[in-house]
Amino acid sequence: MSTDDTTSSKESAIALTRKVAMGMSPIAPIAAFLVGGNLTAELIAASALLAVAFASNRVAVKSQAVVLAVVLIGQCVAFTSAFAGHPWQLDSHMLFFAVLAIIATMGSIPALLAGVAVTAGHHLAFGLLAPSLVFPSLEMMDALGRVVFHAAIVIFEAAILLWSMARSQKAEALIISGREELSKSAAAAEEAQVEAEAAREQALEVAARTRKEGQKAAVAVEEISAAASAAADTAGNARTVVEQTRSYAEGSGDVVNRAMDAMAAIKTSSAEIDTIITVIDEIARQTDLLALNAAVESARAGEAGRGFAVVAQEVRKLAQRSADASQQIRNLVTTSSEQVSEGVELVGETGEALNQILGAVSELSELMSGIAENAKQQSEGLNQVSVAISQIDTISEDDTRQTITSRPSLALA
Amino acid sequence: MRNLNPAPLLALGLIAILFAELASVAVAAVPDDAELVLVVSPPWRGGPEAIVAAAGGSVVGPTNAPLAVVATDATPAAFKDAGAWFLLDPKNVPFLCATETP
Repeated sequence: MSTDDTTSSKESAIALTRKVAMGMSPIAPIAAFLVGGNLTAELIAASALLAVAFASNRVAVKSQAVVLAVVLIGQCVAFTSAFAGHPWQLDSHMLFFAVLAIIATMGSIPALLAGVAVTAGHHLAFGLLAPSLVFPSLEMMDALGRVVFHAAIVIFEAAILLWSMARSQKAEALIISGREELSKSAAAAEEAQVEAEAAREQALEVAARTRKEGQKAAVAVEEISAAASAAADTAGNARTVVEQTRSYAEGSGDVVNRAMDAMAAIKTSSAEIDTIITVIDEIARQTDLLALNAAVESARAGEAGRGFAVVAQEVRKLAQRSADASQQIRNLVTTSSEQVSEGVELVGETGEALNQILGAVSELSELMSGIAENAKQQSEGLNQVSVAISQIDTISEDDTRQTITSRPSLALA
Repeated sequence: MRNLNPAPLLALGLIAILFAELASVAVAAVPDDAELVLVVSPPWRGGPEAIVAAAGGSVVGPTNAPLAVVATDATPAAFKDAGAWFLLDPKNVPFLCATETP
């Protein structure tokens, strides 16, 4: 019940009271007709009150109840005056009490006070003052007592009606306050529902985005995992190649050693050749001495030895050429020996270089083993990450489904 | 359209109340040949006793009201000519809360 509802209810009560007031208009003339009262006067008064009741709809709502209260009390006065001189006139006063209750139904304290005021004024004027002024033998105390008695009852009824109206208005105010609180609570609940709905939508968006990003991450991790696996395979292949290289290097060391042995053998052979050349040299020198002796002997022989001298000369030339040849061979052997020595040194250096290469290759092999192992572990770790992302995707999908299915209950809340 | 001033309506209602109440007094109107009348008169012309005396009548009873006396010995017309406001039948005057007229 809002303030508008209260106003509408009050207007409805006033409209109903107006109908009652207009419906009561014939009562006084009918009573006058039945008991022999002043019918004409009652008709005039009733018509005037009917017109006022009818026109009361044209005044402001807050004044309508007051106007209708005056009309209703006026009808009581008309009804009582219709009984003028009749034994039932005093009984006709009961209509005042009924009408005061009707006035109270409009819920207007000013209207009730107006009704009581008009009733009191009417009774004081025509029940006490006028008789005391114009009727010499009226028992004043009796009249005064009756008026006071009637006034006390009217005041008592008015007080009860006012108390009842105040309670009703207080209860009405409490109801209005309660409804307003309820309305505020409903508004707050609606606002909370809207916020919850917005949060739910946001959660759905975040979940969808998370799933999308998770799927991207899963794809990326799978690619990285594949790359790591390929790297592990490559590292394994590289390690194999390095092993082969080390094997080759070790084989080269053997070759170098064999070359060094061969060089030593050549050096030994060169020394033997030098010895042989020395022998040849000695032979050539002795041949030259023999040829010289032969020439001397042929010269001694004279003409007979001339031919022999020529032979000796030729032998001597051959010995000389042999000595020259052996000298050249010696030179060559010497050069060869020097070169062999140099070759031995070079081969030795080559062997050392090969040993260094072998050490480096061994170290490289160990490094490649470490790389291959790390790549393998990395690939396994990435596989686990991919599985975890897949599980996150599943959980996110379940959450999204639960959020969507929880929507109807939220809407009903 | 609720722009009507309520004051004229209230005034008309109060006038109707006054009219209805005064109309009830008319039942106590005296016939032309009445012997006892209640003479109601203004106080500024010597009071009701002076009006009665001026009309040639005489006051009945020992007690008098400020504005009226019960009189006899003169016609209603004479009392009105002497200045009475109006005349009532003293046996039939209605009053609100009285159970019977005196």
